[in-house]
Amino acid sequence: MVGVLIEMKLRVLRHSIGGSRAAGMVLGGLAGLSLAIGTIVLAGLDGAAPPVAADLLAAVFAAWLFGWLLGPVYTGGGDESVRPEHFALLPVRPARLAVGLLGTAFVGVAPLISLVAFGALAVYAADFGVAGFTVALVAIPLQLVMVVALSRLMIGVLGVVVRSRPGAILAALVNASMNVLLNQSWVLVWAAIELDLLQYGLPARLSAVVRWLPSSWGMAAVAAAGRGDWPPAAAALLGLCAVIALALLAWSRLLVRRTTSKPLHRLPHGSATSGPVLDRLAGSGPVGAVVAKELRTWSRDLMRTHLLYFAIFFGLLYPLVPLLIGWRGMLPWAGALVVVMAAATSANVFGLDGTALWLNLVNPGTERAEVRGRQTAWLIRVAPVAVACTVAGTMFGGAGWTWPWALSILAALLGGGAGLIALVSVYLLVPVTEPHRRSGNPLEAGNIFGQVILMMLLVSLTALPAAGVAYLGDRLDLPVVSWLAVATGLGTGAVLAGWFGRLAHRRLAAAGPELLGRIRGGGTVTPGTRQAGLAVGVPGAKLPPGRQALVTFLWIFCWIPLFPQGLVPLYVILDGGPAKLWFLALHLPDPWRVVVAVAFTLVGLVMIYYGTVIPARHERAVRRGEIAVDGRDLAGAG
Amino acid sequence: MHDTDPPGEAAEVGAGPVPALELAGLSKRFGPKAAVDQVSLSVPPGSFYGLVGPNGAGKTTSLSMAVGLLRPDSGHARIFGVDVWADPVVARARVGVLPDGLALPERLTGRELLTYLGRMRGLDRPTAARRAQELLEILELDEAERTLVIDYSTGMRKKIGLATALLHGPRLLVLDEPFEAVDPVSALTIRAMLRAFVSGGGSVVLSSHVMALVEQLCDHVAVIDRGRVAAAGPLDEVRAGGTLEDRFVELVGAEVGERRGPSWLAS
Repeated sequence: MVGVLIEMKLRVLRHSIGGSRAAGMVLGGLAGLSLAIGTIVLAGLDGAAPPVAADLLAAVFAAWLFGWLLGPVYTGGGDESVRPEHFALLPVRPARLAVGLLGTAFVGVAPLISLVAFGALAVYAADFGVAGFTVALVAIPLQLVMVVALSRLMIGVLGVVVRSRPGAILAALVNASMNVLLNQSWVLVWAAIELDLLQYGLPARLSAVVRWLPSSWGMAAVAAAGRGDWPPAAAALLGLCAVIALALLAWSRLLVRRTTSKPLHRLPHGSATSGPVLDRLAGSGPVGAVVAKELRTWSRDLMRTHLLYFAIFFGLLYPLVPLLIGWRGMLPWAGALVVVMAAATSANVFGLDGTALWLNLVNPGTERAEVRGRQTAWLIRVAPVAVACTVAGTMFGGAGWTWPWALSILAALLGGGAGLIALVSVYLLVPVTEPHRRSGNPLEAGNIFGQVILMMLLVSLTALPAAGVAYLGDRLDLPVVSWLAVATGLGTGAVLAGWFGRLAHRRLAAAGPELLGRIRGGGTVTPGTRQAGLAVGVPGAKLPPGRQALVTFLWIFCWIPLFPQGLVPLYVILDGGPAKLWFLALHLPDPWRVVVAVAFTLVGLVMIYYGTVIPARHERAVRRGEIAVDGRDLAGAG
Repeated sequence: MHDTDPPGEAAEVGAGPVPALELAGLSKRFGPKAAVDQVSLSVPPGSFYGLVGPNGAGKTTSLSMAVGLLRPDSGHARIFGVDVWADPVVARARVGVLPDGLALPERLTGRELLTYLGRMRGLDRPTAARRAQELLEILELDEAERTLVIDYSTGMRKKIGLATALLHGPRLLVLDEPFEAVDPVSALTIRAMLRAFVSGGGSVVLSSHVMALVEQLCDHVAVIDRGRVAAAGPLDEVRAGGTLEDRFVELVGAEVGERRGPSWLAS
C-alpha cells in the first residue's frame, strides 16, 4: 500500500515539475540545507555554557517543529499531489490509508533536509557517551516521523477548519504573522543581541517551554541515557511514539470526515454585506451592480476573504514588531502597508473568478462597468481600514510632521492601488483553480508570488510624487507645501485610478478571448513535453533551466539589497535613528552611508530589471522564431 | 487485503435473495434543507435499476450515501447485506462506483491511474496492468496515452471514472449519470458493456435524466422527487401503461401544458 502510494506520488511529481518549480525546489533545498547545517554547527558549538547551548538547540528544534506545523499554511495547504479523496472508494481502513499517506509525506526534499538537521542530535549526543549516541540513533528517525505526522495532522485540521469563513480569517492571521516575522526578523536579531543570548541563555520561562515541547524529548532521552538514567530515557522515546500514534489516529479520523462530508457554502451572516443597501446599489446602474456583486464576492469567496484579511493583518502586525525594541516609528505606516499588501493580493481579481469572465465576453460593452465596479468595491473594502490604521498609528507613533506624510502617501497609494489592481489583473493574469473546483482551501490562490512582489513595488512607486512634495515641505519648512502633498496624493491617486482603469477596460474589451484562454489553460504540462517541445496552455515560453534558476534567484534575493540594505537604511539615515544592526551602510563613516545604501538599492533594482527582462527577451525571441519553445537556439548564434 | 468471495452467494435472509443494494430510511439535511428524506429502495440482484428525478431531487445525495461517500444523518445502506457505514471495507470491495464530479489524481495518465488504483485494490502488478490495458482499449482511451487526466474532456473523465469502477470486478455498479457528455459511439459501447454485465448476473444502479435511455436499458426504476421516493418497482409497473416520461411528469407534479417561455420571447 505504502509502496504503491509512493510510486504514484513520484509519478505525479514527474508530470508536474516544470522549469520554475524545479528551480524553486533546488533553491529552497539549498536554503533548507544551510539551515540544517547551521543546526548541526549549533549543536557542536563550544562557545556557550552547556545549559545555554542545550537551551538554544532545544529552541532550534522547536523552530523546526513549528516550521513543519506552519509550513503547509505558508506554502498553500501543503502538498496535495496524492489526496485522500482519490481513495475514498477503496476498501481500505482509514488508519491504513493514513499510514500510507504518511509514507508519501516522506517523499520530497523537506524531510531529507530535516533528517540532516536532526542529525544535530547525534552531535549533541557526543557528550553523552555510547549510550547517549545509541539513543540518538533511535531518536533521530522518531523525531522526523513525529514532525511529519504532526504536519500532516495540521493540514488535516486546516482542511476541515478552513472551509469556513472564520477558518479563512484565522488562516490569514497565521499566514500574516509568519510573513511579518520573516520580514521583521532583524528585530529579533537585535533583541537577541541586546539580551546577550549566548551569555545568559534564554529567559527562564521560554527555556522551560522549549524543553517541554516534544521536539526536545529526543534531547532529553539522550541526556538521560548519558547519565545512565534509563527510565526517563525510555519514557521520552515512548512519548515520541505516543505523539506519532495519536497524531495518526486523529488524522485518520479527519480523513474519514473529509471524505464523507461536503462543505456547505452558507451565506455568511453579518459579513458586512447588508442586503438592502447592496440591492439598492445594484439597482443604481451597471457600475453599482458590479460593486454590489464584488462586495458580496469579497465576503463570500473564502479565498478572497483570506487574501483581504491577510493584507489587513500584515499591515497591522508589521509595525507592531519593532515595539519589542521600543521603536514606534513604523506605526504611522500601518495604513499604507495595508493598502500596498491589499493591492498586491488583489491584483488577480479576474484570475480568482476563473472562467466567469465569459459573462463579460458575451456582454460586450460591460467591460468599463466591470473594471470600475471592481476598483470601487476594492476601495470600499480597503480604504476605511487603511484610513483608520493611519490615523490611529500616527496618533500613537507619529509626530506633527508625520501627518502630511502619512495622509498624502495613503491617498496616493489608495488611488494607485485601485488603478494597478485593474491594470495588472488584465495584463498579468495568473490562472487559478476554478472557484467551483476548489477544495474549499483558501490557500490555493495560485502561483501569484511574482505578481505580489511586482505589485508591492509598483504600488509603492505611485506614492513618489506625494512623498516628494512632502519632502520639499519639510526641507523648506513650509507647512503649506507639506499639506499640499496631501492634495498631490489625492490628485495622483485619482488620475492613476482613472487612467489605469481605462487601460484595463480597453484591454479587457480588446483581448477578452485571449484572457479567457489563459484562465482556462491553467499552466498544464502535457507528458512528453521534452520530446515534443510543446507545452499546452503555458503562457509564454519556457526558459532553459539554467536561466530559469538565475531568474528565480534574482527574484528571491533582490529584496535584500533593495529593502533591508537599501531603502530601510536610507530611511534610518533620513530619520536620524541610532540603530545600525545588520544594515551595512550604517556602519560606515558619513559620506559613504548614503552612497552605499543607494548602491544597494540600485543593485536590487538591477536584479529586478534582469529578473523581468530575461524572460521577456526570451519570449520575444521565441515569438520571432529564433528559439524553439523548449529553449533550443535555432538561429545558430546567440 | 479484502474479501473477494463472490458476494452474490452471501447468506440469504428469509424469503427472497439478498438485495444487491438496499437503502433503508436514508435521510440527509444540508442546513435547513432536507436534501434526502427517508429514502428506502431495494435493488434485486441481477437487475438494471434506473434512478430518475428532477434536478436537485436528491439522486446524487442518495447514491453518495449508498456507497459510503456521504455520511447519512439517519438510515442504513447495505450492499449484498453488508452495512456500508458499519463495515465499509467489506462493502466497498463489492461495489464499483462512478461518483458525480469525482476527484482524481489529475497529473497521472489514464493508464497510470488505473494501474495504481488496481494495485491499491490488491491486484498484483501484471493483473492490474492487464486490466488497465483492456479497459483503456474497450473505452477507447488508449489513444490518449500521453494525456494527463487533467487535460481529459468531460466525456473522457466519465469514461476513466467508469473504468476505475470496473477495475476490481465488482458484482454491483452504482453509476451517477454515466452517459452525461459521452459521445454516441462511446455510449453504445458502455451500454453494451453494462448489458453484458447484467446478463452475466451483475447488478447496475444508474441515475439519468434521459427517460428514453432508462426505458431502453432498465428493468426497474425509481422516481425521486424532493428527497423522497415518488414511485419504485419494475419498469412496467411504474409506467403503468404509459411512457416513463408521462408518468414521471405526472409524479413530480409538473403541468406540461402550462409550460411557458419568458414573456418577452413569446411572439
